[in-house]
Amino acid sequence: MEYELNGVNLIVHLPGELDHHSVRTLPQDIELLFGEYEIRRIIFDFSAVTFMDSSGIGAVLGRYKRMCERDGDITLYGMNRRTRKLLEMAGVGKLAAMYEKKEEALKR
Amino acid sequence: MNEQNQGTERLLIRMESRSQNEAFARAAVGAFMVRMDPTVEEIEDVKTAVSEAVSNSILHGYPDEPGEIRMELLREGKRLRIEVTDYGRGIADVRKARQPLYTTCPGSDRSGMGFYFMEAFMESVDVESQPEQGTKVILTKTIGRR
Repeated sequence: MEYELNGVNLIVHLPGELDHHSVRTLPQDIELLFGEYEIRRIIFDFSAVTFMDSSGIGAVLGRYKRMCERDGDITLYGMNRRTRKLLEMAGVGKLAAMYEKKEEALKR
Repeated sequence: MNEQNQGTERLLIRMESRSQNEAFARAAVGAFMVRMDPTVEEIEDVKTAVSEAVSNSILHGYPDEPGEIRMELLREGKRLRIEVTDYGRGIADVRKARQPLYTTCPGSDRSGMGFYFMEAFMESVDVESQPEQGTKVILTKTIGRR
């Protein structure tokens, strides 16, 4: 998990396997960054993700709720076919913009 | 297809309920399935379901102290049967636990989608559980039909 600040956007570069193990530090990490920086949007970079289960969905939905409380939003990019299918099954497509490339996500 | 390919194979893994073992369980089931001539999608489906079952045992079976999780993989011809068993806290109301979006951890990052994904990606999902005795999840799927 790597974090990149781009203006008021926080880009979260997700790891190859997104499961309960790999997402366990994400909520606290992001809360710490909220304390340090003005963050209006979280952009999840899925380009390295080859596996995701419902823990990955939970991590995304959890950040969506937090950003709603802060009058911000979330954006996703770089999903493969499988990951996109799971996100759609969980209804994330209705809550977040999804793009193929980072440039499109940043342009939004 | 020769006699050997039609036969049965069994693999039993006993692991500690540590979250690092979720990836190990997925890798093991993926390797086991290779001999069944699966499609990429079938491997992804089964890996997702196994990840959900093992995560459930770690999080809900053993919320306080690590315990043992037993994963048994059984192949009978084209049929794959997976049993994930823990000896932990158990589920008081299995029917409720299986409802989509139900979670015992509201306010956390648990999406309540675990059983939903297991049911979506496997042919059958059976759950046997007794409070304070543990939980067994039985997943089955026919592999390599096409």
